[in-house]
Amino acid sequence: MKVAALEGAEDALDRSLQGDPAAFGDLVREHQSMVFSLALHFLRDGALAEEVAQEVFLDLYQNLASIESPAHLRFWLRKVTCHRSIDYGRRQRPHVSLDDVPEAIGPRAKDTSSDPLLAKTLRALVASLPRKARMVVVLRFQEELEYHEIAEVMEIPINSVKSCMQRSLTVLRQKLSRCAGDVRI
Amino acid sequence: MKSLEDELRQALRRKEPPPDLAERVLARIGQRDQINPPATSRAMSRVPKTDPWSRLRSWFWRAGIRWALATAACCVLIAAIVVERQRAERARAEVAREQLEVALQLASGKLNRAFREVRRVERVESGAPAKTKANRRSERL
Repeated sequence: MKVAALEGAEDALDRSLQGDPAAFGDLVREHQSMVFSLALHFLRDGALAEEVAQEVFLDLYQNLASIESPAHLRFWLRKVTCHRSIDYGRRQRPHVSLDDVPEAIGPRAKDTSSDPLLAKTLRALVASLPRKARMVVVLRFQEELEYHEIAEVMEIPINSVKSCMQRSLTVLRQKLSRCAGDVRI
Repeated sequence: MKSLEDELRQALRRKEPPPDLAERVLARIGQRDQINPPATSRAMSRVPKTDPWSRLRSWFWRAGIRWALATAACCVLIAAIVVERQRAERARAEVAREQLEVALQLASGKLNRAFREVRRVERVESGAPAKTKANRRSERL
């Protein structure tokens, strides 16, 4: 099943490389949730996140020749989204509209046993982190990347990722302990 | 009760983008292609990435360009060193020439003085009157 999906992704990439717009559309549809969510969780602004996602896919179209495999494509998209989101975050003050956006339809969206109020609080607390730390947290918990993968995507040393993560979790625990007493800290 | 990490995973789940995002991206690509066709698609139609021979050829081509650039940089560096050395040598030669001219002028002056002194001493020893200005005038008359 996984092999078939991988072959399908390779096929879509090859056809996109040969200039097939429908195949490129498939690539966009396959990865749009990842790209959009990364930008959304970082910027906390749906319109801005959509703009970032569009820019990232346009950039992908321009640089399609440099993509070597589906894994490289995922890495490339995460990296470009990460840097673009940080750039947009520098320029604009965020305004909250994250909670109007629907959850993704997929295997990861099925487990919705969490408290929505707590999730909202956590997203707000994550948004209050410094830019680099925020992106580290988003990549870690949205994309479930390992530390070395985050370091590669963000182009920073792995020790910076580890220290960022530790500091962020400490800050989040402290802030959350004031807001929600029912979370094990 | 969940750990903070689990709560973060729940809070930062992927969200679904607007349903027409892909269509809007494709529309923007279409608009952009009408104005300026992308180089990538043309390049890819010429060189398919899956062809190993093309990959090898493009690798050699890139390697060749790198070597050519490195060789050109080396040549420029060597030429700059040679030109700089020649300029320094010319400057040293100029300084040496000026010093030699000064030395020759000094030596010439001293030799003239010595020669005049020798002539005067010879005249004194032979009993001839010293050639004063008045004597020279009377000889001419």
